[in-house]
Amino acid sequence: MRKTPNLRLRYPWTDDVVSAADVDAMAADIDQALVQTQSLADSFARFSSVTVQRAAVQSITKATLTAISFDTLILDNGTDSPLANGAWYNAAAPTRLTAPAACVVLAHGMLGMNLGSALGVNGIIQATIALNGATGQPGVQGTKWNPISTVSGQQWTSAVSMWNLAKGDFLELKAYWTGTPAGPFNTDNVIPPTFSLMMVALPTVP
Amino acid sequence: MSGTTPVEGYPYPLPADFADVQDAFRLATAVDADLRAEQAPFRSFLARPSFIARQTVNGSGFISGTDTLAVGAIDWDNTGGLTIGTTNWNQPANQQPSWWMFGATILVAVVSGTPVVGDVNMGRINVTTTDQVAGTSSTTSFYQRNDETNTGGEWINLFAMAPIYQGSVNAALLLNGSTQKTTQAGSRFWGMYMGPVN
Repeated sequence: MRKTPNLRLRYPWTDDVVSAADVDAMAADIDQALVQTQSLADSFARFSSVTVQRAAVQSITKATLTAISFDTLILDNGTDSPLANGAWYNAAAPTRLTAPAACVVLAHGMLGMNLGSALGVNGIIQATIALNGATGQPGVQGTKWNPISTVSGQQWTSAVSMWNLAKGDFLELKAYWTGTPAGPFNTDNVIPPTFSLMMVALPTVP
Repeated sequence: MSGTTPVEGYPYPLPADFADVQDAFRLATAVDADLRAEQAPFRSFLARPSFIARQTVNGSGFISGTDTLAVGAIDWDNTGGLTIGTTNWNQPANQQPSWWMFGATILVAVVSGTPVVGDVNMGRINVTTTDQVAGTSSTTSFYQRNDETNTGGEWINLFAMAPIYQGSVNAALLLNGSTQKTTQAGSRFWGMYMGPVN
């Protein structure tokens, strides 16, 4: 038997005696190739994604990088995706979105804070997307923002980043603020912190 | 003499020439080629062209001017467009005109002196593309300005969507101030293919 170049379908050649077994083998290979094609189509239709929110206020201590603990699951289709085959969010570890499979993700974090008083001229709010609990480079990405020094109340800032994750790696959205007041300040519960991930590529394609 | 299937036109042996291995060969290779072609868009989507570059050492300090992120490590790249030691991602030459999304986190390190609140810190993504007809290249710049807060280094997060053809992209820090700062190790820039322009 020989094999075709792409999908390795067996077929009989001149040194074979063409038999029912040869035809059976070729048919079986075609069958498997069709199953593989269907699997790819299913995966194509269900790239995995997740969105979580922090609906209740969370107290953030001044000058302390704090992981947001998410209490509301908006979407998690990891278990529906043949590529992921597992959930991203687990309420038992509510700060984490954990990769159910090796993948490249686009991550978006939106941090809402409710400042009890203005931060002053050296005040900042930082939204950090962190890999596997990192607190410094290279496992952190994000944005640092300087609100108007005299303004209190609701403030928001967003960050986008891309990550190559191994299965079991997790990302967190972390908040940091500093300034003149002693704090602590709460996260905003009107437009609350939100964290989203979407698979955008696979390290290897089946 | 072979028969052919009514829809796809696959050849198959008839009872009169069942032992002709050429028919089996033709059938197997025809099915193989067709299925591979049908799988192509799925494989292409799952292996979406994308890259993540990371700077691994701090840049040189400067007060006013521009410092472009250097590719010190490749966290991810299935395009072949990143080279360690360079500053640009180069679009695959055989890719059609395409929409891409690019982004960066530029970490700003203090080199000397006490940073002055309000000094200008800006991130910039430059996207250079080629005109398909004229062959000329042009550059579009995307900015994010996060001025100095003197709180232990700035973080500038910026992103852009742009059409690009036979082009290149880089990310840079722009300063206009009074103390020395630079791009910090751990800064990243990344991109992912969104789809064809047409």
